[in-house]
Amino acid sequence: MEQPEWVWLTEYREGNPDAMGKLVEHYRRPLFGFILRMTEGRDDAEEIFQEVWFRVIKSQHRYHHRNFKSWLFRIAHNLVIDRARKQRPMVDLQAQGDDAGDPLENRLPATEPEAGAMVDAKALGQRIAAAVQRLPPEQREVFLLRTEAELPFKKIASIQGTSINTALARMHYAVGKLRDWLESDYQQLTGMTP
Amino acid sequence: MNCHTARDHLLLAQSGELSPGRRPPLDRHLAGCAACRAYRDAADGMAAQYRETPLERDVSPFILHRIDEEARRRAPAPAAPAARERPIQPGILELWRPAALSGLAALTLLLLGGLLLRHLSAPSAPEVAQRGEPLPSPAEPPAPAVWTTDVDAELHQLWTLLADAGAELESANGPDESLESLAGDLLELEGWSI
Repeated sequence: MEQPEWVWLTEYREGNPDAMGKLVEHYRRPLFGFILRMTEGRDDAEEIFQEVWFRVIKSQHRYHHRNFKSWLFRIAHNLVIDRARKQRPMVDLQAQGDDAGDPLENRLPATEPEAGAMVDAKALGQRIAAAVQRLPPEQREVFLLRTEAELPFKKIASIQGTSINTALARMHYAVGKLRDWLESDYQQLTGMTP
Repeated sequence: MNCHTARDHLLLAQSGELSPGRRPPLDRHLAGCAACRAYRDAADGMAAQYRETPLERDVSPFILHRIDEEARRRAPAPAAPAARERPIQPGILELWRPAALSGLAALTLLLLGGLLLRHLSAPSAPEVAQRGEPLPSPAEPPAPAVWTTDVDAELHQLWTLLADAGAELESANGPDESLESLAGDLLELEGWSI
């Protein structure tokens, strides 16, 4: 069965401008979620989101492969990288540490609920999102491309310009860190360890 | 299978990239390894929880509007409808067609009859040779058009009428075109250049 995004893209090429709106809406959550988590603030995220679609609209006539989603997120990845390079470099949480060598990430106040507070599913989701923000950029990107965009690891590796084994390793590290940071939340929610 | 390989295969299975042949060994490992099952549940659970959590911010309507504007500005022009044939004026066609059909039919019969009569009445080459007259050279072009008979004059008049009908009769098809083509061929046989 024809992917809906390919149908809409074809309709747009045939002169139906409304079809591009369907594409934008279809990818609004996953694409903006990816960009929002990969950037520092809302203004950046919206600017990049807009620029991604401007580039899609400008270049769509040259794109003839069937994997539109992979192309879309590759554009987003490149724009996020470009924006990060132009701005003040972010603090590398793993590289810098105190004299004891303890990484900065371990000295930041943890986002733990108040003592005795119950954690519901919605709050857990928000805490997962906050924890994702703490991941190193490469691991965060793999997690987001897999979770938000639901791209296969082969495509993720291609977007990041690395091997599939490296992409898998980054995902392992991301899942491991999230489990460590959210262990107490999971225990409160399910009585089980994550 | 060790846990490291199992967790790689687990991630690939979740993304749909694990080949079918590698599924049974993975299932056997998971059946016997609680740690890998916990890893699987954690990875699945966090991803699902993350996806269900709404974004703290969404794209502003202003940005969506700008994208829509750009899409409309650059939308390809709809494909032009197939060029329509020049509208035929029914009145002229209705007026000329019956006359043209009748004339072409008559022309065909006259030309065939004329050719037959000429063939029957013309002296054969041996007869010409017996008279001592020079035989016409086969390589000689036919004599230029000279109106010598009433039939020829009528044929030429009819052909002129057909030429003047122009586009209206060009749209004719089927028997009309066949008769016109036959008439042209017969006139060429008579030495007329059409």
